[in-house]
Amino acid sequence: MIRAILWKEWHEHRSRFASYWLTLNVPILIVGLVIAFSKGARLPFADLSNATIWKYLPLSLLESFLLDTVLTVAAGYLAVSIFSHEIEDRSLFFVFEQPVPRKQYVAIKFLNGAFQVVAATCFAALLAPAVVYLMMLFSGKVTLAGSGGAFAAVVAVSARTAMWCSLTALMVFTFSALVSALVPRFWLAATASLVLLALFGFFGGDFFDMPFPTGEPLSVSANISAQWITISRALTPAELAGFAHWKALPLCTAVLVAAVFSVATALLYDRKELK
Amino acid sequence: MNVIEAREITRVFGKTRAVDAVSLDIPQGAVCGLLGPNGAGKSTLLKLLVGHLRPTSGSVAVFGRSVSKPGPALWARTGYVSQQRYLPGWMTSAECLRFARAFHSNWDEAKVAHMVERLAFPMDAKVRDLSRGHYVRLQITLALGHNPELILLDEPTSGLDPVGRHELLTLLIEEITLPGRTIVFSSQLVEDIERMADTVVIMDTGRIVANGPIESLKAAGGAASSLEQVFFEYVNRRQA
Repeated sequence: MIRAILWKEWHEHRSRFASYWLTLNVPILIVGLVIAFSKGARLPFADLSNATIWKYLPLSLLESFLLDTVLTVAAGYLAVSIFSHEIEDRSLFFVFEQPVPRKQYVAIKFLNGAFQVVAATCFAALLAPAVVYLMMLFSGKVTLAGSGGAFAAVVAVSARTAMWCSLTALMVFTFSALVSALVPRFWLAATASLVLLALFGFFGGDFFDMPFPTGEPLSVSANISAQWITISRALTPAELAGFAHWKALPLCTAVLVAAVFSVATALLYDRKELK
Repeated sequence: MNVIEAREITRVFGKTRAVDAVSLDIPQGAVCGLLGPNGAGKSTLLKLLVGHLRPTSGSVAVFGRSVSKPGPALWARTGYVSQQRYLPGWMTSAECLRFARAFHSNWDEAKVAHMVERLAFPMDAKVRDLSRGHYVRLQITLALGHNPELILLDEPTSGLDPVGRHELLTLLIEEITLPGRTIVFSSQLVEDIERMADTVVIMDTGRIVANGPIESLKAAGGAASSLEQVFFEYVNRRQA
């Protein structure tokens, strides 16, 4: 029974899942393609050394920042496309006519979607530093022994941000599912999701524990013509270590919010009528 | 024992009372035909009986359990053919049958294979590409594949060519002969009802205007009256 529902979900939405995975990795794909096809973009890598790794490798954390902000819309879109489609074409009643509790069907659907959201988010958050570090290694002047510490520190931060980004995406996913179960319109779900995120940002403060570095000011500037980014100073290992810590209260709150939205959606599904 | 017990069910859409204070008992083993003109409330009544719609007031019990929250127990024993088209368009006929099979412990593979061969609908075609006739054949196969005790069919022969209609009616009549089957089907065709049903429920503007064994209704209308005459008489009387 569960296999049949998972089979249906995969066959019905695999292109949407693939698009979602692709979208989350678009920033790093763009960087990769620019470097692959532009000789100018490759030049600065030749100037990198073990000493400058601490300065430039944390730039890959920009992917986590995008995952936690603009790319959450992708999670909203994924939810709308997998939930509203079957409501609009009424094909969910084909499932409802099978001897399976409606709530169980929605639960499996949610878990499957949530798995894709969390897996894709974690993958994207960890892929960015891995790809950037590999490119730095290929530049020739960076050695594993000399830069391993910086890579480990950045990956550790990425892993922590992956958790936060996954939770943000999960909240947007469940909220969009709830909105689309009510009114299956993407723009409405996207708007509602953005409002939810804004509310979290406004009222949550350092809810996600992603503070700006303290101490000596840090500035990042991009020189488009030289295709390079200038950073005023390197993040210290202590600053990196203090970034995006997991805290029980916000973690539990985010999980609870996602759970409440999921249950509300299940209740709405339970009351769906074939008109 | 009654398989279906509906008490004073009403369903309102906006200002329209699609089903209006309908009470209905259908005993086990009955073959009941719902007859009525367009907009009489036949489809709405069938949807209320399977829990696809909730009544605005009144109650429905199927197999002794309320269908206000239709659960697995109801669908394990019920087969339903809707007039609406909502099978997933991206699935093939074969995939629809495989999907349904996964949920029914009593899925009758031999019966389904026989029906597929007999009804001759394309197994590899996507549902969205099926003609009305092939779509209904697939729906019937899905509805009967698990040998349900209760079968509800919403105008199953509408839109079918004469050959398809004959084939489908023959198959349904064979199903009727199986022990323990209770069948409720709606139709606008009096001859379909007369051919299959033993009791008839005549509906008009959401209400039941006549209900009983076909022979009794015909007898009440006079020695020479046909079911068609009885139907027109009730509908005209109500509209007058």
